[in-house]
Amino acid sequence: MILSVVQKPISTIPKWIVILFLSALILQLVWHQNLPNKMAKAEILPGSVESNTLKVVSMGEPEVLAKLLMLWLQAFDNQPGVSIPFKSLDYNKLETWLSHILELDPRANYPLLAASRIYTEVPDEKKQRQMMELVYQSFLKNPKQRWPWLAHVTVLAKHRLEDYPLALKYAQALADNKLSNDVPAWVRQLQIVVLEDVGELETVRMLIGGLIQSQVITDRKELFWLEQRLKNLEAAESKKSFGIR
Amino acid sequence: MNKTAFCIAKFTALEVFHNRILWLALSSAIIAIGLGLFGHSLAITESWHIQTSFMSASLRFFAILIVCLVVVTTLSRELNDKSLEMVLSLAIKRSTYYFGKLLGFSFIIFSLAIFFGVCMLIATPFDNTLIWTLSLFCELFLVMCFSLLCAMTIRQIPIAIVTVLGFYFLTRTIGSAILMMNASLQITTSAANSMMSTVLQSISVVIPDLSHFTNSDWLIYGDANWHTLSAILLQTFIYSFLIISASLIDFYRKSV
Repeated sequence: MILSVVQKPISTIPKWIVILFLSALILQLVWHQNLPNKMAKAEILPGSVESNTLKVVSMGEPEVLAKLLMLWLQAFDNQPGVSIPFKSLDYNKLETWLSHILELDPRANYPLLAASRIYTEVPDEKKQRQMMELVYQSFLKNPKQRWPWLAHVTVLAKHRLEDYPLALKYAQALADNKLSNDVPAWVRQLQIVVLEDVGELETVRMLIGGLIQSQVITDRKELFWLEQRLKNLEAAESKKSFGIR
Repeated sequence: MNKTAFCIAKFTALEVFHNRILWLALSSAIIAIGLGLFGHSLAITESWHIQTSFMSASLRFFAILIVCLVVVTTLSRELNDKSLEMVLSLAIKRSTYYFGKLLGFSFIIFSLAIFFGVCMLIATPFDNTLIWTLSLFCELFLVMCFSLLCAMTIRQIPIAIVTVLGFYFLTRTIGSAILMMNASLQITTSAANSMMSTVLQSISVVIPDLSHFTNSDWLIYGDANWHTLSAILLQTFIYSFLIISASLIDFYRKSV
């Protein structure tokens, strides 16, 4: 049987079907009208599943899943109809999520950028420290790629938290790990700056002297800066020994 | 024989093209590009990586879905319409018919892979995209062979499609599943875990590990090289022979 392309007029449809259709349409409209208004409800950040499970779920594409999870996590503070401040997030769960995302895609910078620049912006010192520690631990696993984020949290620890021992710990990690020459000089010299602030002038002097003698630094401007720094320190020390203020 | 096979291949390809596959491929590409741009706009860093990964993963998924649906529905329709019986009543060998179909669908998946590869060129460099596209073709070829087998063996379309998709899911996750199982075995060595591990290991012997195929990180980080591709080609070559021979055995045994 070949069906005709030309449609028959509506009048050929049995009346009961038309009535059924119209009644159903009216019922649907009434139903929709009587539905309760949707209320925006903030959802709590769920706990992360195991990274192995995530790897299976990724179907051989862990990088794609990592990027998808990162966008989801980043947008968690901005749920439909409600905005949650970062400080309300459960940072233990957040830390686990970020670690798992890093495991899925170890070359991604996104999780560490979020940890160091977004999630440290909360007015809660404990949470800030938690994120900084995550950055530090991640840096130890891949210093050559992750130094920018540790450098950032070193500055945060020094200026925002004013926790000099913590800043020194991070700065020392930056100095101890053999970073390539592409790394800006200020990163390698962070340890010197923090030590000066702590008042460890003798250690600073030894470090600068060692750096100059080791011939690791070849940039003339950087060498000049270090030499100037050394001269200033010696001048400060001699003033101190003569009791000049 | 060759002429007949080419004739069957030509009509197979024509039928698929008449079924508006071009529109389907185009719509998929637009959705994938849209998803990529959406991801790009949400990201605050590595936005280019996110766009690339979203695009490549969705294009690959769409390609698999299209191939599975096209092959299963086309062949099932032919079986149900008794066209197959009519063709086989002529002096045509069953293998000729099978290879004609295989050739026709291969042309379709080749065109699809090339089209999606060209779409990826929007976001990625040529070298990486070329390897990704060839790998996509290999992946699609294996799925196409398996779809042919399922469509001929299982006459019901939904069951055949679910079987193909299940097979695909298994081949993409088997590697990770084994790793996960082995890791849990180091913690607890219960009988159930050991048995599960043995089952997974046994399954992995007879299926390819498609998680090494068409990876997005090739495009994001430029990891792919010709050595990677040669391993993929070899795996495709070996496994496609296995499925093709299984399909032919089944086809010759059928009393059509």
